[in-house]
Amino acid sequence: MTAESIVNKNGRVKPRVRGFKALFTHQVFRRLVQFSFAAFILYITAVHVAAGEGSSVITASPEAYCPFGGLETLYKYIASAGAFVPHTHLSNLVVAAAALLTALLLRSSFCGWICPLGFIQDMVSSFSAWMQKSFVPVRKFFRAIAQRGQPLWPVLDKYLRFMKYGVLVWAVTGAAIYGVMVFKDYDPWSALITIAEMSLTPGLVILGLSLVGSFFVERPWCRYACPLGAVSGLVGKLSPVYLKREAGACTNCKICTKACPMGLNVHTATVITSVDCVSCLECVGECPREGALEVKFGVPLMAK
Amino acid sequence: MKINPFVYGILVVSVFLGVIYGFRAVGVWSISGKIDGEGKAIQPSATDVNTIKGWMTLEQVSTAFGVPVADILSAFDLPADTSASTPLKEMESDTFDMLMLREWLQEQLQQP
Repeated sequence: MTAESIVNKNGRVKPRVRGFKALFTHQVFRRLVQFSFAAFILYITAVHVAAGEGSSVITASPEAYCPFGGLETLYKYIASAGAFVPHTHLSNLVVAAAALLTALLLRSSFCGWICPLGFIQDMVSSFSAWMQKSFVPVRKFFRAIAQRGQPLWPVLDKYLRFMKYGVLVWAVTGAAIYGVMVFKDYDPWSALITIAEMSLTPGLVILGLSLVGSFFVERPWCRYACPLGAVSGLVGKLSPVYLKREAGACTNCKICTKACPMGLNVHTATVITSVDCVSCLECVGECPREGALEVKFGVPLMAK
Repeated sequence: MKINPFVYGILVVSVFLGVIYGFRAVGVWSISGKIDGEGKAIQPSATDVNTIKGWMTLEQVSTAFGVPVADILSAFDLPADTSASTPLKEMESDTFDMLMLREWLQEQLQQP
Protein backbone atom coordinates (compact mmCIF):
# COMPACT_ATOMS: atom_id res chain seq x y z
CA MET A 1 0.00 0.00 0.00
CA THR A 2 1.49 3.35 -1.05
CA ALA A 3 1.61 6.32 1.25
CA GLU A 4 -0.74 8.18 -1.05
CA SER A 5 -3.43 5.51 -0.92
CA ILE A 6 -3.68 5.59 2.86
CA VAL A 7 -4.07 9.37 3.01
CA ASN A 8 -7.68 10.43 3.50
CA LYS A 9 -8.68 11.46 0.00
CA ASN A 10 -11.40 13.86 1.20
CA GLY A 11 -10.69 17.40 0.07
CA ARG A 12 -8.39 16.47 -2.77
CA VAL A 13 -9.15 18.04 -6.13
CA LYS A 14 -11.23 15.70 -8.26
CA PRO A 15 -9.43 14.45 -11.36
CA ARG A 16 -10.55 16.41 -14.41
CA VAL A 17 -12.37 14.31 -16.97
CA ARG A 18 -12.04 15.39 -20.59
CA GLY A 19 -13.17 14.29 -24.02
CA PHE A 20 -15.47 11.33 -24.56
CA LYS A 21 -15.31 10.29 -20.90
CA ALA A 22 -16.82 13.63 -19.89
CA LEU A 23 -20.10 12.42 -21.37
CA PHE A 24 -20.34 9.72 -18.71
CA THR A 25 -21.33 12.01 -15.84
CA HIS A 26 -24.52 11.83 -13.82
CA GLN A 27 -25.39 15.31 -15.11
CA VAL A 28 -25.45 14.06 -18.70
CA PHE A 29 -27.38 11.00 -17.52
CA ARG A 30 -29.93 13.30 -15.85
CA ARG A 31 -30.37 15.29 -19.05
CA LEU A 32 -30.96 12.06 -20.96
CA VAL A 33 -33.59 10.96 -18.45
CA GLN A 34 -35.30 14.37 -18.57
CA PHE A 35 -35.18 14.38 -22.36
CA SER A 36 -36.65 10.86 -22.54
CA PHE A 37 -39.67 11.76 -20.40
CA ALA A 38 -40.21 15.03 -22.32
CA ALA A 39 -39.97 13.15 -25.63
CA PHE A 40 -42.50 10.58 -24.38
CA ILE A 41 -45.00 13.33 -23.51
CA LEU A 42 -44.38 14.99 -26.88
CA TYR A 43 -45.05 11.67 -28.61
CA ILE A 44 -48.26 11.11 -26.60
CA THR A 45 -49.40 14.63 -27.48
CA ALA A 46 -48.64 14.20 -31.19
CA VAL A 47 -50.51 10.87 -31.35
CA HIS A 48 -53.49 12.35 -29.47
CA VAL A 49 -53.67 15.45 -31.68
CA ALA A 50 -53.26 13.35 -34.86
CA ALA A 51 -56.06 10.98 -33.81
CA GLY A 52 -58.41 13.86 -33.04
CA GLU A 53 -61.17 14.07 -30.46
CA GLY A 54 -63.76 12.26 -32.52
CA SER A 55 -61.50 9.33 -33.37
CA SER A 56 -62.74 5.80 -32.77
CA VAL A 57 -59.20 4.93 -31.64
CA ILE A 58 -58.79 5.89 -28.00
CA THR A 59 -55.48 7.65 -27.40
CA ALA A 60 -54.09 8.99 -24.14
CA SER A 61 -54.21 12.72 -23.64
CA PRO A 62 -50.95 14.08 -22.14
CA GLU A 63 -53.16 15.28 -19.27
CA ALA A 64 -53.63 11.61 -18.34
CA TYR A 65 -49.98 11.50 -17.25
CA CYS A 66 -50.05 14.59 -15.05
CA PRO A 67 -49.32 13.65 -11.42
CA PHE A 68 -50.91 16.81 -10.08
CA GLY A 69 -54.19 15.83 -11.74
CA GLY A 70 -54.11 12.81 -9.44
CA LEU A 71 -53.90 15.05 -6.37
CA GLU A 72 -56.72 17.24 -7.67
CA THR A 73 -59.04 14.29 -8.20
CA LEU A 74 -58.05 12.33 -5.08
CA TYR A 75 -60.75 13.77 -2.83
CA LYS A 76 -63.53 13.14 -5.37
CA TYR A 77 -62.20 9.64 -6.03
CA ILE A 78 -62.42 8.78 -2.33
CA ALA A 79 -65.60 10.70 -1.51
CA SER A 80 -67.57 9.62 -4.61
CA ALA A 81 -66.51 5.97 -4.73
CA GLY A 82 -64.26 6.06 -7.76
CA ALA A 83 -65.52 9.17 -9.61
CA PHE A 84 -63.07 11.65 -11.13
CA VAL A 85 -63.07 15.38 -11.69
CA PRO A 86 -63.27 16.14 -15.44
CA HIS A 87 -60.03 15.67 -17.42
CA THR A 88 -58.57 13.20 -14.89
CA HIS A 89 -58.40 9.42 -14.97
CA LEU A 90 -57.07 6.49 -12.97
CA SER A 91 -53.68 7.04 -14.63
CA ASN A 92 -53.40 10.45 -12.91
CA LEU A 93 -53.80 8.80 -9.52
CA VAL A 94 -51.20 6.16 -10.38
CA VAL A 95 -48.66 8.72 -11.66
CA ALA A 96 -49.30 10.85 -8.55
CA ALA A 97 -48.63 7.80 -6.36
CA ALA A 98 -45.41 7.16 -8.32
CA ALA A 99 -44.24 10.77 -7.91
CA LEU A 100 -45.03 10.83 -4.18
CA LEU A 101 -43.43 7.45 -3.47
CA THR A 102 -40.36 8.65 -5.36
CA ALA A 103 -40.36 11.74 -3.13
CA LEU A 104 -40.79 9.64 0.00
CA LEU A 105 -37.78 7.49 -0.88
CA LEU A 106 -35.59 9.87 -2.88
CA ARG A 107 -36.73 13.43 -2.06
CA SER A 108 -38.07 15.72 -4.83
CA SER A 109 -36.19 13.82 -7.49
CA PHE A 110 -39.29 13.76 -9.71
CA CYS A 111 -38.81 17.53 -10.14
CA GLY A 112 -35.10 17.31 -10.87
CA TRP A 113 -35.00 14.18 -13.00
CA ILE A 114 -38.39 13.59 -14.59
CA CYS A 115 -40.66 16.66 -14.80
CA PRO A 116 -40.71 17.92 -18.43
CA LEU A 117 -41.63 21.46 -17.37
CA GLY A 118 -38.56 21.54 -15.12
CA PHE A 119 -36.50 20.28 -18.06
CA ILE A 120 -37.78 23.02 -20.36
CA GLN A 121 -36.92 25.68 -17.77
CA ASP A 122 -33.47 24.09 -17.36
CA MET A 123 -32.94 24.30 -21.11
CA VAL A 124 -33.93 27.97 -21.24
CA SER A 125 -31.60 28.75 -18.33
CA SER A 126 -28.77 26.82 -20.00
CA PHE A 127 -29.36 28.82 -23.18
CA SER A 128 -29.30 32.02 -21.15
CA ALA A 129 -26.00 30.96 -19.50
CA TRP A 130 -24.50 30.15 -22.92
CA MET A 131 -25.60 33.55 -24.27
CA GLN A 132 -24.05 35.32 -21.30
CA LYS A 133 -20.83 33.37 -21.70
CA SER A 134 -20.59 33.90 -25.46
CA PHE A 135 -21.68 37.50 -25.93
CA VAL A 136 -20.23 40.35 -23.87
CA PRO A 137 -23.18 42.80 -24.34
CA VAL A 138 -25.60 40.10 -23.18
CA ARG A 139 -23.41 39.37 -20.16
CA LYS A 140 -23.29 43.10 -19.30
CA PHE A 141 -27.07 43.37 -19.65
CA PHE A 142 -27.70 40.47 -17.27
CA ARG A 143 -25.12 41.74 -14.79
CA ALA A 144 -26.70 45.20 -14.81
CA ILE A 145 -30.11 43.70 -14.08
CA ALA A 146 -28.67 41.53 -11.31
CA GLN A 147 -26.97 44.54 -9.71
CA ARG A 148 -30.10 46.67 -9.83
CA GLY A 149 -32.18 43.92 -8.24
CA GLN A 150 -29.57 43.07 -5.62
CA PRO A 151 -31.04 44.76 -2.52
CA LEU A 152 -34.61 43.64 -3.13
CA TRP A 153 -34.27 40.33 -4.92
CA PRO A 154 -33.06 38.06 -2.06
CA VAL A 155 -35.97 39.21 0.11
CA LEU A 156 -38.51 38.73 -2.69
CA ASP A 157 -37.02 35.33 -3.52
CA LYS A 158 -37.34 34.23 0.09
CA TYR A 159 -41.01 35.14 0.47
CA LEU A 160 -42.21 34.26 -3.04
CA ARG A 161 -41.22 30.63 -2.33
CA PHE A 162 -44.17 30.35 0.05
CA MET A 163 -46.60 31.12 -2.78
CA LYS A 164 -46.51 27.50 -4.03
CA TYR A 165 -48.13 26.27 -0.80
CA GLY A 166 -51.00 28.69 -1.37
CA VAL A 167 -51.36 27.42 -4.95
CA LEU A 168 -51.35 23.84 -3.63
CA VAL A 169 -54.11 24.51 -1.08
CA TRP A 170 -56.21 26.49 -3.58
CA ALA A 171 -55.92 23.89 -6.36
CA VAL A 172 -56.63 20.84 -4.19
CA THR A 173 -59.40 22.32 -2.04
CA GLY A 174 -60.94 24.04 -5.09
CA ALA A 175 -61.16 20.72 -6.92
CA ALA A 176 -62.61 19.08 -3.80
CA ILE A 177 -65.27 21.76 -3.27
CA TYR A 178 -66.31 22.50 -6.86
CA GLY A 179 -65.58 19.12 -8.46
CA VAL A 180 -63.61 20.73 -11.30
CA MET A 181 -59.95 21.58 -11.74
CA VAL A 182 -59.94 25.25 -10.69
CA PHE A 183 -56.18 25.32 -11.35
CA LYS A 184 -56.39 24.06 -14.94
CA ASP A 185 -56.77 27.45 -16.64
CA TYR A 186 -53.78 28.77 -14.69
CA ASP A 187 -51.59 25.71 -15.14
CA PRO A 188 -48.62 26.38 -17.46
CA TRP A 189 -48.19 22.64 -18.08
CA SER A 190 -51.81 22.34 -19.21
CA ALA A 191 -51.29 25.39 -21.44
CA LEU A 192 -48.18 23.83 -22.97
CA ILE A 193 -49.74 20.47 -23.85
CA THR A 194 -52.79 22.17 -25.34
CA ILE A 195 -50.83 24.88 -27.13
CA ALA A 196 -52.07 23.55 -30.48
CA GLU A 197 -55.56 24.79 -29.53
CA MET A 198 -54.21 28.36 -29.80
CA SER A 199 -56.35 29.64 -26.94
CA LEU A 200 -55.11 32.48 -24.77
CA THR A 201 -55.50 31.39 -21.15
CA PRO A 202 -53.94 32.66 -17.90
CA GLY A 203 -51.91 29.42 -17.96
CA LEU A 204 -50.36 30.41 -21.29
CA VAL A 205 -49.40 33.80 -19.86
CA ILE A 206 -47.89 32.09 -16.78
CA LEU A 207 -46.03 29.67 -19.08
CA GLY A 208 -44.63 32.62 -21.03
CA LEU A 209 -43.61 34.41 -17.84
CA SER A 210 -41.95 31.23 -16.53
CA LEU A 211 -39.96 30.73 -19.72
CA VAL A 212 -38.91 34.38 -19.97
CA GLY A 213 -38.18 34.34 -16.24
CA SER A 214 -35.91 31.32 -16.74
CA PHE A 215 -33.49 33.61 -18.60
CA PHE A 216 -32.96 35.50 -15.35
CA VAL A 217 -33.78 33.05 -12.52
CA GLU A 218 -33.45 29.29 -12.81
CA ARG A 219 -36.67 27.28 -12.51
CA PRO A 220 -38.96 30.21 -11.52
CA TRP A 221 -42.14 28.10 -11.76
CA CYS A 222 -40.64 25.38 -9.54
CA ARG A 223 -39.30 27.86 -6.99
CA TYR A 224 -42.39 29.98 -6.54
CA ALA A 225 -45.59 28.43 -7.78
CA CYS A 226 -45.49 24.70 -8.58
CA PRO A 227 -48.03 22.94 -6.31
CA LEU A 228 -46.63 19.50 -7.16
CA GLY A 229 -43.15 20.66 -6.14
CA ALA A 230 -44.64 21.96 -2.89
CA VAL A 231 -46.18 18.63 -1.91
CA SER A 232 -43.20 16.69 -3.24
CA GLY A 233 -40.82 18.77 -1.11
CA LEU A 234 -42.92 18.23 2.01
CA VAL A 235 -43.15 14.46 1.46
CA GLY A 236 -39.42 14.40 0.67
CA LYS A 237 -38.73 15.62 4.20
CA LEU A 238 -39.45 12.04 5.31
CA SER A 239 -36.92 10.57 2.87
CA PRO A 240 -33.84 8.73 4.17
CA VAL A 241 -31.73 10.37 1.43
CA TYR A 242 -29.97 13.67 1.92
CA LEU A 243 -26.99 15.69 0.70
CA LYS A 244 -24.06 16.17 3.07
CA ARG A 245 -21.40 18.83 2.89
CA GLU A 246 -18.17 17.77 4.63
CA ALA A 247 -16.84 21.01 6.09
CA GLY A 248 -13.32 19.56 6.42
CA ALA A 249 -13.09 18.87 2.72
CA CYS A 250 -14.94 21.99 1.56
CA THR A 251 -13.02 25.12 0.54
CA ASN A 252 -16.10 27.39 0.51
CA CYS A 253 -15.57 28.15 -3.16
CA LYS A 254 -19.37 28.54 -3.58
CA ILE A 255 -19.36 26.62 -6.88
CA CYS A 256 -22.09 24.36 -5.46
CA THR A 257 -24.31 27.33 -4.58
CA LYS A 258 -23.81 28.84 -8.04
CA ALA A 259 -24.70 25.49 -9.63
CA CYS A 260 -27.94 25.05 -7.66
CA PRO A 261 -30.91 25.74 -9.99
CA MET A 262 -33.15 26.34 -6.97
CA GLY A 263 -30.88 29.04 -5.53
CA LEU A 264 -30.08 27.24 -2.28
CA ASN A 265 -27.05 28.21 -0.19
CA VAL A 266 -25.37 24.83 -0.39
CA HIS A 267 -21.91 26.07 0.67
CA THR A 268 -23.10 27.15 4.12
CA ALA A 269 -25.17 24.06 4.96
CA THR A 270 -24.01 20.93 6.75
CA VAL A 271 -26.82 18.81 5.40
CA ILE A 272 -29.09 19.85 2.52
CA THR A 273 -32.63 18.75 3.30
CA SER A 274 -34.46 21.83 2.03
CA VAL A 275 -37.99 21.32 0.72
CA ASP A 276 -36.90 23.32 -2.32
CA CYS A 277 -34.04 20.95 -3.27
CA VAL A 278 -34.99 19.08 -6.47
CA SER A 279 -32.19 16.50 -6.05
CA CYS A 280 -30.69 17.31 -9.43
CA LEU A 281 -27.22 16.73 -7.91
CA GLU A 282 -25.73 19.56 -9.99
CA CYS A 283 -23.93 20.73 -6.83
CA VAL A 284 -22.37 17.29 -6.32
CA GLY A 285 -21.24 17.15 -9.93
CA GLU A 286 -19.80 20.67 -9.94
CA CYS A 287 -18.00 20.40 -6.59
CA PRO A 288 -14.26 20.29 -7.37
CA ARG A 289 -13.29 18.49 -4.12
CA GLU A 290 -13.40 14.78 -3.38
CA GLY A 291 -15.83 13.94 -0.60
CA ALA A 292 -16.88 17.55 0.06
CA LEU A 293 -20.45 17.02 -1.15
CA GLU A 294 -22.08 13.61 -1.33
CA VAL A 295 -25.47 11.92 -1.50
CA LYS A 296 -26.09 9.95 1.70
CA PHE A 297 -28.56 7.38 2.88
CA GLY A 298 -29.50 7.63 6.56
CA VAL A 299 -32.27 7.83 9.11
CA PRO A 300 -35.33 9.80 7.90
CA LEU A 301 -35.69 13.27 9.50
CA MET A 302 -32.35 12.82 11.28
CA ALA A 303 -30.05 13.33 8.26
CA LYS A 304 -27.56 10.92 9.86
CA MET B 1 -23.90 5.37 3.58
CA LYS B 2 -22.80 7.12 0.38
CA ILE B 3 -24.89 6.77 -2.80
CA ASN B 4 -23.27 7.15 -6.20
CA PRO B 5 -25.13 9.87 -8.20
CA PHE B 6 -25.51 7.48 -11.15
CA VAL B 7 -27.10 4.86 -8.88
CA TYR B 8 -29.34 7.59 -7.46
CA GLY B 9 -30.58 8.47 -10.96
CA ILE B 10 -31.23 4.82 -11.76
CA LEU B 11 -33.15 4.47 -8.48
CA VAL B 12 -35.31 7.52 -9.31
CA VAL B 13 -36.30 6.14 -12.71
CA SER B 14 -36.77 2.60 -11.33
CA VAL B 15 -39.03 3.65 -8.45
CA PHE B 16 -41.12 5.98 -10.59
CA LEU B 17 -41.64 3.59 -13.49
CA GLY B 18 -41.80 0.60 -11.14
CA VAL B 19 -44.86 2.02 -9.35
CA ILE B 20 -46.60 2.83 -12.65
CA TYR B 21 -45.93 -0.56 -14.23
CA GLY B 22 -46.81 -2.28 -10.94
CA PHE B 23 -50.27 -0.70 -10.95
CA ARG B 24 -50.68 -1.43 -14.65
CA ALA B 25 -49.75 -5.07 -14.08
CA VAL B 26 -52.64 -5.49 -11.63
CA GLY B 27 -55.10 -3.65 -13.89
CA VAL B 28 -55.22 -0.35 -12.00
CA TRP B 29 -54.79 1.92 -15.01
CA SER B 30 -57.00 3.87 -17.38
CA ILE B 31 -55.93 6.76 -19.60
CA SER B 32 -59.31 7.86 -20.85
CA GLY B 33 -62.78 8.57 -19.56
CA LYS B 34 -64.08 6.84 -22.69
CA ILE B 35 -63.16 3.37 -21.40
CA ASP B 36 -63.29 1.77 -17.99
CA GLY B 37 -60.48 -0.14 -16.27
CA GLU B 38 -61.32 -3.25 -18.27
CA GLY B 39 -61.20 -1.40 -21.59
CA LYS B 40 -64.99 -1.36 -22.11
CA ALA B 41 -66.52 1.76 -23.70
CA ILE B 42 -68.30 4.04 -21.22
CA GLN B 43 -71.87 5.05 -22.10
CA PRO B 44 -74.05 7.71 -20.48
CA SER B 45 -76.33 6.33 -17.78
CA ALA B 46 -80.04 6.92 -18.40
CA THR B 47 -80.55 7.82 -14.75
CA ASP B 48 -77.61 10.13 -14.11
CA VAL B 49 -77.07 13.27 -16.21
CA ASN B 50 -73.63 13.71 -14.64
CA THR B 51 -72.37 10.74 -16.67
CA ILE B 52 -72.67 12.83 -19.84
CA LYS B 53 -69.22 13.90 -21.05
CA GLY B 54 -68.17 16.43 -23.68
CA TRP B 55 -66.72 13.75 -25.97
CA MET B 56 -70.09 11.94 -26.15
CA THR B 57 -72.19 12.46 -29.27
CA LEU B 58 -75.73 13.80 -29.58
CA GLU B 59 -76.78 10.31 -30.68
CA GLN B 60 -75.37 8.65 -27.54
CA VAL B 61 -77.25 11.10 -25.31
CA SER B 62 -80.41 10.77 -27.36
CA THR B 63 -80.32 6.96 -27.13
CA ALA B 64 -79.45 6.82 -23.44
CA PHE B 65 -82.12 9.28 -22.31
CA GLY B 66 -84.77 8.48 -24.91
CA VAL B 67 -84.96 12.06 -26.15
CA PRO B 68 -85.08 12.67 -29.94
CA VAL B 69 -82.07 14.51 -31.39
CA ALA B 70 -84.42 17.06 -32.97
CA ASP B 71 -85.85 17.93 -29.52
CA ILE B 72 -82.38 18.59 -28.13
CA LEU B 73 -81.45 20.78 -31.11
CA SER B 74 -84.62 22.83 -30.94
CA ALA B 75 -84.44 23.23 -27.14
CA PHE B 76 -81.08 24.96 -27.49
CA ASP B 77 -81.66 26.83 -30.78
CA LEU B 78 -79.06 24.70 -32.52
CA PRO B 79 -79.07 24.23 -36.33
CA ALA B 80 -81.54 21.51 -37.28
CA ASP B 81 -79.03 19.96 -39.69
CA THR B 82 -76.45 19.31 -36.92
CA SER B 83 -75.11 15.78 -37.33
CA ALA B 84 -76.10 13.32 -34.60
CA SER B 85 -72.50 12.12 -34.50
CA THR B 86 -71.20 15.54 -33.39
CA PRO B 87 -69.41 15.48 -30.02
CA LEU B 88 -71.24 17.68 -27.51
CA LYS B 89 -68.26 19.88 -26.72
CA GLU B 90 -67.95 20.85 -30.39
CA MET B 91 -71.49 22.26 -30.22
CA GLU B 92 -70.88 24.60 -27.29
CA SER B 93 -72.20 28.13 -27.88
CA ASP B 94 -73.99 30.92 -26.01
CA THR B 95 -77.16 28.84 -25.97
CA PHE B 96 -75.66 25.41 -25.32
CA ASP B 97 -73.10 23.92 -22.97
CA MET B 98 -72.76 20.76 -20.90
CA LEU B 99 -74.29 22.29 -17.79
CA MET B 100 -77.35 23.53 -19.69
CA LEU B 101 -77.82 20.14 -21.33
CA ARG B 102 -77.57 18.30 -18.00
CA GLU B 103 -80.10 20.64 -16.38
CA TRP B 104 -82.49 20.31 -19.32
CA LEU B 105 -82.23 16.52 -19.37
CA GLN B 106 -82.75 16.41 -15.60
CA GLU B 107 -86.01 18.32 -16.11
CA GLN B 108 -87.01 15.88 -18.86
CA LEU B 109 -86.31 12.94 -16.54
CA GLN B 110 -88.50 14.42 -13.80
CA GLN B 111 -91.46 14.93 -16.12
CA PRO B 112 -94.05 12.15 -15.84
